[in-house]
Amino acid sequence: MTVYANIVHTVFVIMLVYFLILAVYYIFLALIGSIEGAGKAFEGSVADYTPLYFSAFKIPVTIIVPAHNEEEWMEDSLKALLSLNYPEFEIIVVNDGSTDRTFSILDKILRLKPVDTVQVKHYLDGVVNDTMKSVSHPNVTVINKKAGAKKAGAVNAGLNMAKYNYVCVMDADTILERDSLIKVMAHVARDPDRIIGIGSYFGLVNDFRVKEGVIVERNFSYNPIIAYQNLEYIRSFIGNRLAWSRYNAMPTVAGGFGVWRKDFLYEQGGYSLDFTCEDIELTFRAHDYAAKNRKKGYRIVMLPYCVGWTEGPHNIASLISQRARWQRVTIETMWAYRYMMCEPKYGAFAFLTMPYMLFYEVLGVFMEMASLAFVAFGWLTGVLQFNVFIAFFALMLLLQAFTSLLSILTFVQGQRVFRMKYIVYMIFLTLIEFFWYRWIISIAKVRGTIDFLFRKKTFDQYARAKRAWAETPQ
Amino acid sequence: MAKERKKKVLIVDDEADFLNLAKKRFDSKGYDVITANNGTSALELLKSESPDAVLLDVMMPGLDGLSVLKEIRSFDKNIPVFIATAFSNEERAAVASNFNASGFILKGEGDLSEEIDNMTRIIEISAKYREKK
Amino acid sequence: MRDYYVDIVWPINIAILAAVILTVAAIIICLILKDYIWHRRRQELLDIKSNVYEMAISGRKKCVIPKSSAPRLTSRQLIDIETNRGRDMVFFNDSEQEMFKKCFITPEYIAALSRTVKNSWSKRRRIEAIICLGYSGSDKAVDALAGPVLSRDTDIAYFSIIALGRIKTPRSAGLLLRAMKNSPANRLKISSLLDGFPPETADEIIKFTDDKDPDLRALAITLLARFNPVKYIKKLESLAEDKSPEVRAAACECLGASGSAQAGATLVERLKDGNWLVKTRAVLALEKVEGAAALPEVINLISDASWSVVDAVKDVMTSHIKESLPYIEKFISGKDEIAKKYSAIALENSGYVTELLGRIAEGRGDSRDLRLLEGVIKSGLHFGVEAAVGSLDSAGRAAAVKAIGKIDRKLAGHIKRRLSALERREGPA
Repeated sequence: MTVYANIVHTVFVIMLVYFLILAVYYIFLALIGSIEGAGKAFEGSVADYTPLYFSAFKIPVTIIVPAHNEEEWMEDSLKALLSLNYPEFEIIVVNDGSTDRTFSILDKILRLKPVDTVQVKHYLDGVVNDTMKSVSHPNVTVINKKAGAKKAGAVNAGLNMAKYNYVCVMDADTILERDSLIKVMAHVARDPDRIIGIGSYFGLVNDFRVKEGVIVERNFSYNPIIAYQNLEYIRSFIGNRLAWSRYNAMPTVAGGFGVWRKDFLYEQGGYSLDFTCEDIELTFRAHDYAAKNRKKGYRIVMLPYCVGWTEGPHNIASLISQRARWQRVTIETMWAYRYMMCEPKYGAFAFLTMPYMLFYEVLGVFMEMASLAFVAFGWLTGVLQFNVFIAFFALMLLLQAFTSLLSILTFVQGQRVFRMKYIVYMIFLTLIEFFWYRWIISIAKVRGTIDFLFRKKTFDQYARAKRAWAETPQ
Repeated sequence: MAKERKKKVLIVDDEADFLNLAKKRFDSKGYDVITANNGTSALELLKSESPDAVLLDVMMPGLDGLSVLKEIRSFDKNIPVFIATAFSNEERAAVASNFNASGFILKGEGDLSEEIDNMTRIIEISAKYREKK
Repeated sequence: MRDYYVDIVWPINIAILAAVILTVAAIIICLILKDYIWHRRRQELLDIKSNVYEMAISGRKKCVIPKSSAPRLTSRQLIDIETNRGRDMVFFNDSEQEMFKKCFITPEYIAALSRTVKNSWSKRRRIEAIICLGYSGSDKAVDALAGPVLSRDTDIAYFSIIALGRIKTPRSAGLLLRAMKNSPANRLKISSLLDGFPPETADEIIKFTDDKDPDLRALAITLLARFNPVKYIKKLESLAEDKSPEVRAAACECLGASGSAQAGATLVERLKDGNWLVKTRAVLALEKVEGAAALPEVINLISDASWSVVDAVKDVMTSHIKESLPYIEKFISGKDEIAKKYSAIALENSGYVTELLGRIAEGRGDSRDLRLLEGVIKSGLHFGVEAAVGSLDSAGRAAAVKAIGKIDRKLAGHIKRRLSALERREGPA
């Protein structure tokens, strides 16, 4: 009995310490994030964009949009891109073996004409069928590509054609705000030598009314599945990454919107076809490479500005499959770059981000489930009393709510994206999250881990939620 | 000053929901409201009814909001014109200075009461100015 | 033992619960406070707006700042009015901004801002004030920016540079140039800010052409090119003999920009320079100064070792294609492969190939046209031929393809296939 009690005791202490360290870590992130967010918000509010339209300040950007069966989104996102408020940019849409109307939509808007080009293949991209230029919009190119080289291959095909030294890689279902690029590039212009990658916050477009690529009404969705995702975006973009960015320890420049310096991507060989995740792997590799090779220092930055809106899954099944994939690619990347963990060469990234990714993102779900199972088991076998179980359950619930609330607090300090009512709704959701949404995500994470362990490589980066309002008759 | 003329606002939008909401708010402020659901008829109303202010939606079939605004500015430089839109900040600033828009409101957020407050103040100010001219 | 767990966990729970409640309260307070601040900001801006209109109506000279707002215009308000940024903000259109500036931007106000820049302990306040000094656009603000623009703090220096860029006076330009000397990192930015400055700025710039730093000398000369440098031809001619090739090249460029025939002799001299960049610039500048008359001087450089010089000669040929035809004919039938290729490119870029194909298609083409066409096709650089054929009508296309077929049957076949594909897509021409 004493051995058993000792085991119980040890496990209990480990769990408690784990959760408390997590709480302290989050308080730290929230503090740093608030400072960083406030600084960036101030910078954004006084920034003067007019010099960016002058000759030497001007930073031309190539926007690469990989698209695979995007008929529902292509028109809106392309039209939003065409009306972007930026002095000089080109758009490269990579039609990656679409079997739906994607190409005919592109052709209708752009009036495409095939051109002869000499392709220099700096980046591995698979089979390119043909290249087309738009008659109506001279800054748009469409590359028709055979499917099969994943999204990374599609982006690489775009990189091969890209004219400018900064590339903005985005998803075909992201609708950019018209001033997004100028806001982000204004920050790049401050320190072009060191910034190699930069990302920014974006929210969910579900339930918005979009007309011709213009967001007519911002109806933030009160559907809990969507609202929870909005909350999660805040948690990861604002709650975590903003603080990491201050120490140059960003683990991911999100695939939905990210600007990279092309000469740096060239040194690295572009996106890797060996992984099913292009964004997180590239960022890890960037840290790895830059820490070893860039003497002058480098920065991968996260901005708190809202640059656009993307579509999120609107039912539980598609949410689970999306998150399972995220989990799988996170573990894949962590495994591939495990040597960076706590290696002084990589600076804050190795000490601040990697341990968090391992203990929270990868193992956290098991820690949580195991803790609950442990106290539940203890209670059922009579070793622990019911009130221990309740106390522990309450501890997890409160911690969970507390970390979310800290992120919201960081967010509302610098932003006025959501109105008061919606924030209050989110606060309410955080308090009940532990009773259901948490476990949906946990199931997804477990599934992702299993997928990883059994080496399941699906090519579903393009997997998209169906447009919510396409299904409801109007 | 005792009995001031009731001010008249022209609201232009092709969507009934927004039209009704804005109408209700302006009504409660003691304004006369006339409405139009497309750009062409808005321009006609503007000439025949000579309202004190215009609230324009940007996205409309046919003549869109910005073209209507441009048209208005070609014959009246001073009438306050407000734009209902979800433009981003920079965009709004550009429209304000290029087309001489007097203000913007965001559609689909909130109940408009604060925005209408602002608008009525600007309308009062510029009405006084226009009278003097 | 059993209570032991509960004894540990519950106090922690209560502490976290307190933290949760505090955080929620903080969020709500933050939201309310922000809404209130925005509300006040809006109201104050509305006050300012109505005040501005009052001024305009009454024609009063002195401006009264409304009671509800701060005792004087804050930097924040000025920035709000100038940028029109921020959600559901009060907007000031161009004429209102002008009225506002006339009313509020007074010497006292600028003095107050200058004091803030100098004395404020808050970096944000200082930056705001610097930006406002820029918006004031007044020459009086320049003095206050003299210190910050050379500051070691990169943020302060950066915003000061931007602010000075808005004050378009020679004095401000002088400061910017001094900043240019000071911080090499910002040189290009500053040079682009100087774009819209008045012509007198040139007098400030010329001082920097004697600087010790060759990069700065070159940059100053390049800048001078934008301000009608005719006045400084003598100076530029001496700079064209400078030690540093960058400076010589910039001087050539600037002499070209002056457009003065006086510069011709110096530029011809520079064609013999040892440096490729200087030669390139001299070729292009000579064309600007003398036009087609430069051709005989530069044409021999087509066999230069540097592709950049050859490219420049090609550009000169392209812009004066009619005058270059005798040379091109010679090159195309000659032995020099590079001269051949670049002649072909000049023919295509100038659109002469289209013209010539048109003549051939109508049956008006003479033997020279055919020879040139043959030269273009044989040079291998005939990407433009296809497009040129495509721009003809269908009868012209057939004739042109026939003519091409006489020179290169394979190419004719290729063009024919491409054209029929185009016709399938877009209908016949």
